[in-house]
This record gives sequence, C-alpha cells and structure tokens, in this order.
Amino acid sequence: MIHRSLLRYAGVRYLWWGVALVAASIVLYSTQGGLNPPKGDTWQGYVLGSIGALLIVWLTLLGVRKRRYASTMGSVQGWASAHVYLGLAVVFVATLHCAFRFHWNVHTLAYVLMCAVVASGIFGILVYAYFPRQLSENRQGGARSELFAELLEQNKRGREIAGRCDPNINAAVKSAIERTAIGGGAIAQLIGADRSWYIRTDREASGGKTNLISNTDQQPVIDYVADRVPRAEKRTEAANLQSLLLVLCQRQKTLRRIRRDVQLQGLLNIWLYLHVPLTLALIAALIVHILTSFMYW
Amino acid sequence: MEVLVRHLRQGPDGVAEFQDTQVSSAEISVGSSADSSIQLLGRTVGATHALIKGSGARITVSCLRGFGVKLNDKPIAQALVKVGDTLEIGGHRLKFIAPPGGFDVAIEVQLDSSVPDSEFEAAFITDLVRTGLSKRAASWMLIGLVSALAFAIPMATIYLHRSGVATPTGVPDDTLWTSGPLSAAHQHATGKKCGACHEQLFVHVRDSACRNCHKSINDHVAPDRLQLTSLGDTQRCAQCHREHDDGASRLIINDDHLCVACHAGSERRFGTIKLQTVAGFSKSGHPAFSVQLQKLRASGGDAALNPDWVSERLPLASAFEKSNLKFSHLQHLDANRVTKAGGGAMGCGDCHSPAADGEHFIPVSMAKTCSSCHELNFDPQAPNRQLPHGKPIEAMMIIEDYFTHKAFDPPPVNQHTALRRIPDFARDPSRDQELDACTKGPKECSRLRIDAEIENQFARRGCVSCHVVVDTQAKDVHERYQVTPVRLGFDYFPEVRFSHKSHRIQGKLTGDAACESCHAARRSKQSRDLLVPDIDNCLDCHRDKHSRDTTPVKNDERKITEKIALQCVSCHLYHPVAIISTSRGMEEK
Repeated sequence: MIHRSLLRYAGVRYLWWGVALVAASIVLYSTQGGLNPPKGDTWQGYVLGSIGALLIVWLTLLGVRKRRYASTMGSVQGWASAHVYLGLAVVFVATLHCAFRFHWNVHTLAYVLMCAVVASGIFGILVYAYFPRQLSENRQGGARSELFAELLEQNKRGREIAGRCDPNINAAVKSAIERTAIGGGAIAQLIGADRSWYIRTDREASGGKTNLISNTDQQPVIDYVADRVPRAEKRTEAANLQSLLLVLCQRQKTLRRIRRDVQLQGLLNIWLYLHVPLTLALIAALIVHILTSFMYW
Repeated sequence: MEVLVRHLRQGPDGVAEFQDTQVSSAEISVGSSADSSIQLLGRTVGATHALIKGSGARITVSCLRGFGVKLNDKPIAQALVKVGDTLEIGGHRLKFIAPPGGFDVAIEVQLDSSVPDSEFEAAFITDLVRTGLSKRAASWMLIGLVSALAFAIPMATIYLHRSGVATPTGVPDDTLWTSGPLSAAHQHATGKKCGACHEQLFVHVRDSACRNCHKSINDHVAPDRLQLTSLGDTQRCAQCHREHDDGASRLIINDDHLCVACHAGSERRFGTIKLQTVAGFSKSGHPAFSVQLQKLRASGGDAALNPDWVSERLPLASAFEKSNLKFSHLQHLDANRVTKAGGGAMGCGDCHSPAADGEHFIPVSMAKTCSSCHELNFDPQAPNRQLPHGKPIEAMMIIEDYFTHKAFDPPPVNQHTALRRIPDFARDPSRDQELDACTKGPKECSRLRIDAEIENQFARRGCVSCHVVVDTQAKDVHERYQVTPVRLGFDYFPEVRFSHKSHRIQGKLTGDAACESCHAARRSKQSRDLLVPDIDNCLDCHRDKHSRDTTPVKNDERKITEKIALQCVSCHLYHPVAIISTSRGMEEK
C-alpha cells in the first residue's frame, strides 16, 4: 500500500526530522521574553518565520519534483514522506512564529490558508489510508475497465433479449440502457448520484403520452419488466422476460459497483483539487504577508 | 409544444419499421445525455448538443457552443426550420415531417447505423479531470483574489489616504496589514490611518512621528549629556514602546534588562557622568537610598532669615532634615505625655493626611495640624487672646497693646479661669506674680510686663518652643528676635514613585502599625530625623524579577507569605518629568 510505505519510509526518518524541528522551534520560542515579548518581529520570530516560509516553498516544490522523473534528487517517495511530516511540522513552526496572535489581517489570512492546506493534506493521507482497500474490494481485484466490459456484455444481452419482446418492453429496456447515467459532474461523481432515465411507450400507464421516467438504480425499469411477467401470453414471452429480468438485475449490480468505483476514485482525488489551489493561494498570501510586514514595520 | 418523434429502424426481419414517441415540452434537447428528449450516440455528439424550440410555424434549431449541426448539409449555429428540412448531428439525420393533427412538430430520426450501440459509454464522465473542476483555474482565481483584496486594493487606498480621501465603505484598506490591534488611545488619535505613524513604506516608524503628538516628553538622557557617554544614539521610541502588541506589553516593555543593560556598566559606559552601578533590586545589586534635601546656598549673615535654598542629594544614612522646627515624634506618640482632646494617644493620621495622588501627604501646617492642641494665648488671665501665627512683629505689637491697655485699665481680678498653655515648660509663675504686683506707675509697669512677655515668647517659651529664634541683640525689640522660616521636606525622592496607598496594609499589619513598620517614629526625638527607611526595609518584602529567593524575612511581624517582585519602573521613571519641588515651605508660617 502506497500510503503505508510513504508514512514509514526509511524507518519514519522524516517523522523524527519533523519532531526535531518542532522541538528546536519550541526552544527558540521560549528564549523570547523580557525586552522581546514573543512576536513575529523578534529575532527568534524572524528565524521561525524564515524557516516556516522556506519550508512552505520546499513543500510546494514536491509538485515540481514528482513531475521530474529524471531527477536524481532523492526518490519521490522520500520527498512525499518528508512532505507529510514536515508539512505537519510547519503548522507548529508558524504558530510559534506568530506567537499565537491571530487577528483580522493578511498575516492571519496566510496562517488560515496554511492550515487549510495542511488540513486538506491530512484528508488526503486519510483517504489514501482507507479508500484504496475499499476500491480494491469493490473491483474485486479487477480494473475499472473490467467492470465496464461486464456492463457492455450485459447491455448487449439486454438489447438482444429485449428485441425479442414486445415493442413497449423493447423501447423501455433499450432506452434504459442508453439513458443510463454514470458519473457526470464532480458532485454527481462524489455522491454517486444516479440520474438515469427510461422511456415508457405503453399508453395504459402514461395517459396516452410517451413518458421519460426516472430510472434511479435501474429499479423502475426492473419493476416495469417484472410487472409484465405474470401477464405474458406465451410461454416464450414469459421466458424472455425472465431472462431479461435476470440480465437487468445483474446489470443493476454492475452499475452499483461502477458508481461506487467512480465515487471512491473521486474521493481519492478530490483533496488535491483543494490542496493545490490553496497552496498557491498560500504562496500569494505568504508573499503579501512578508511584503506588508516590511512595508509597515 | 407537442412533438412527435419517429425513430426509423431496420426490423429483425429486415423490414423497415418505426417507433413513435411523443414528447411534450417547451423545448426539445438533442444530445447523448440520458435525459435528452432525443438521445443520439457517438463520439462527436455532446451531452446536450442542440435545442429545438418554438411554436406554430416558427421552429428554431440552435446548436450549442463547441458542437456542429448541419441544416440541409450547411453548418449552422442557429436557424429557422420548416417541414422537409433535415438536420445532421454526428452522422444521425433528423428530418422535419408534416406533423399529424395535435402535434406542433414531427421529427423523423434516422440513426447512423455505423455508430455502435455501445457508444453511449463514451459520454460517461467518470473522472474528476473531465469535469468542470480545474486545479489551475482555481489556483489562478485564488491567487488573483488574495493579491487583489490583500495587497493591490489596500495599496491603492494608501494613495487615496495621502490625497485626503477616506477609504470607500466596504473596500479593504491597509488596516488589513496591521500586525495587531492598536492601543485605544492611538486608535483614537490616528483615526485608524496607518500613514499617521508609518509615514514611509519600508522605513521604521520615526521618533518624529511620535513627537508630533508627544511634544512634552523628555529624553532619558539629555543630548548634551549623552555625548559624554559611550552609549551612542538614543534608542528609538519603538524600541521600548511596542504598538500592535495585543495588550501584551501595554505599550511599554518594562523589563529590568532595559535599564540594567546600561546601568550595570555605568562605570564603563557613562563616561564622565558618575552614577552608581545598578544590577537589580537586591542588597548587592542596588545602591542604598539617597535623599534629596534642601540646604542653604550660603551660610552666615542673614542667610538664616532670608534663605536661598538649593537641593542637595545625600546618602540616607547620613542625611538630616534642617527644617528649623523643633518636634519630637516620640513625645507626641507617648500617651503618658500627649493625649488627644477626646482622650487616647495620638496616631499618625492625626497629623499626616494622604494627598490625592496616594504617594505624598498634605503638608503639615500650624492652622490645620497643630492649632487644635497648641493655642497661642499669652496671658493666663485672658485665655481667649491669641497671638497671630507666622507674624512675629504683629505678635509683639499685640503684646504691647494688650499689656499697655491692661496697665491703664486693669480688668477685674480672677475674671477668667487661668488656662494652661501647651507647652508650658518654661513659664515661671512667680515671675508673673512679681510683675502683676508691680507698684510703679502704669507706664513703667506695662513696659516691664511687655518686655518680659516678648522675651517669654521668643526666648523662653511660646514661639521658641517649636521654632528656631535668632536673638540679634538689636536695640529695637521688633528687630531683636527673628524666627527662622520653617521648611519641611515634601518629597525626599522626587524622581521616584512610591505608593503609600498600596502600603497601607502590609501583610498582617494595618493602620499605624503598617506606617511604623517602615517609619521609626517612636524612636525619633528630634525633627532632624528623616524617618525614611533604607533599601533593607524594602527588601524585607520585595525582590527583583530575576531573584529566585522569594522567602520573606523570618520573624517579620508583617508575616507576608512571599516576596513581591518589583521592576525598575515600579519605582523609577524612564522619562524624567519636570520636578515641581522637592520641598515646600509651610503654607502658613
């Protein structure tokens, strides 16, 4: 598992680096007082602030490093491990730098953004800790393409059997297959929304009009077909409907797994959509923080 | 509108067949999404590709941005359609046919058979990358927001402020750059305009910005004196006065190190200025106290009578008050010798009233303090006749007038009960009787009596009991006796702060016991005794912040539990104030 080896890289070497950094920062912080009450503008404050700013820049460079496959500057895994532990340590360093003073200003904005970046990073660590196993269990060891291959096969059989049934059933099943929705927008992917539809062409239920009917989780179309089974006039028709039902139920199961797969994959990736933009906003706020500190000092 | 959608397709037996569906909607959506009114599959078909809307004969087709639609083989973005027209979308053909009764529009759909049924899977968006989410766009947006709101707009407001324009409501200004809240006074004085103190960007707040308002503040060391030392330039105001400090230092950094850094090395660093070394508040770190007293600039001649007082600083141990007053605290506090009018011994508060500042005392005066016991009558037979205080010549004249009148027009004998004057230690009753029994003429008798009483007052009892009287031996009796002016110390430590108020209760001691724990009044027989305690007395209960010894003195009657830490600025001022007076003459002589 990638996250395990990332956290336990080189015998948690970078955990100890982080702990050492926090301990050194606390010692440095405690030397403030008297003439220099703890604040960001004492020499200790400047040292802590510089360490924090350099750390943030270095942590950001992970995004550059992991794209440079030819780089020899340590393994990506080593960088990622250090990124995690030093990224957590930077919260302590920054808190000691600002000496627990928070106000409605650009300096606290930088701090809040930093905390948001770290929080999104922690979320990333957590999803990497829990979701890969669920993802793997849901795929039953296979790949997503296998799930889709299964679905395509079921669609093919569904269409084939439906073609042998009466036109209303045929239209309903064919439309249910074609109007099956998977994924969609970011929110739809993350909550596993199902906005599938099917079309009913029989006039008895729809008041003489064609109806586009919601087919969430495929249950409505299954119910529709199941409802026709007892009314089958011929034995072959009943057998076809039975076979069709079986295929539709198998298809429902496959679709559930695909949606869960899309959802888990989305959750596994969504934190980066927060982590990266917030990091860049943090860099901007950090520059503003440093610049304005010296403009009005 | 009511739309008939007719799908044409090849039946299983090879015969063309159609399937009609009816759609009732304000507009018909065409695309690959599951909820499209007409679903078309294919890689070139968008989720919502085109819209058909209108009513009656006016039906329009509009193609959504980024997609392609052909009307009668010509690409269009939007067009009116009529019966017989054919749309082509992704290889599929949609023909507008004459609508049967009850329908507004009828569309015949001929699907492109070369598009496999499985094409609809291509429309699935199963990856966040293909959604509207974009790390890059979000990053740029946030960078833009932060840069604009936190930097660019506040920066612009600086130039607005400089041109005298206030920040428009709701616009973020440079107060967002503050490192913490201003103290209330500065917030009020600057009107929250950063530029009031931060006059120039990237430059420390200048002292001149402080002095714009704080005009009367004095330097700790005057510039000419500073040149005598090796201390260098005066520190910036902001070195000690920290603003935006969250109330942590209450605007003043009052750590002892601030003072001790220079004063511990006074011998090395103060050049020709001689000051005692101070390393803290302890027996070894702080010099013994020295008091400021008044002394006469010149001696001899009439210096005693027309004094020119100058301040003099003396070690407390060898300092004596020169008040020209005769007074014994011991005697006044002894119940066997002095009692109050209502009975009982006198206490400190009977004479000493604290001033409103909590530090000083209202000066003792004859009128306010002494006269309740000490009357100025001079003839036991006329106890209501009083001499004026502080006016010796007038007093002599009253004596002359009184006894002249008495000699020529004597009052009835024993008309009044003789009252005892306090103090009365020098009066000789036999001499009074002898003078009363004078057998000479009234003029001679009154002269004798007047001379005797003036001598009595100025050389034997009366005024001379409390005051220093100089006998000039002048022939004119009015010139002969001169009473030396009284000058009581008002403030022995003018540069030092001390709160008598907060020392009214000391541990277990209150009232006079608290006063006497520092001021040894019961042992003082003379007015020259200063009664001011030296540093040892303070160190019984106090220490400096860095001293770890918090144990109070054993067997101390105050029984405090722990020594209280003092800082330099608890007693000393950094910025010297103009000293009003170290000594005040009695308001009433």
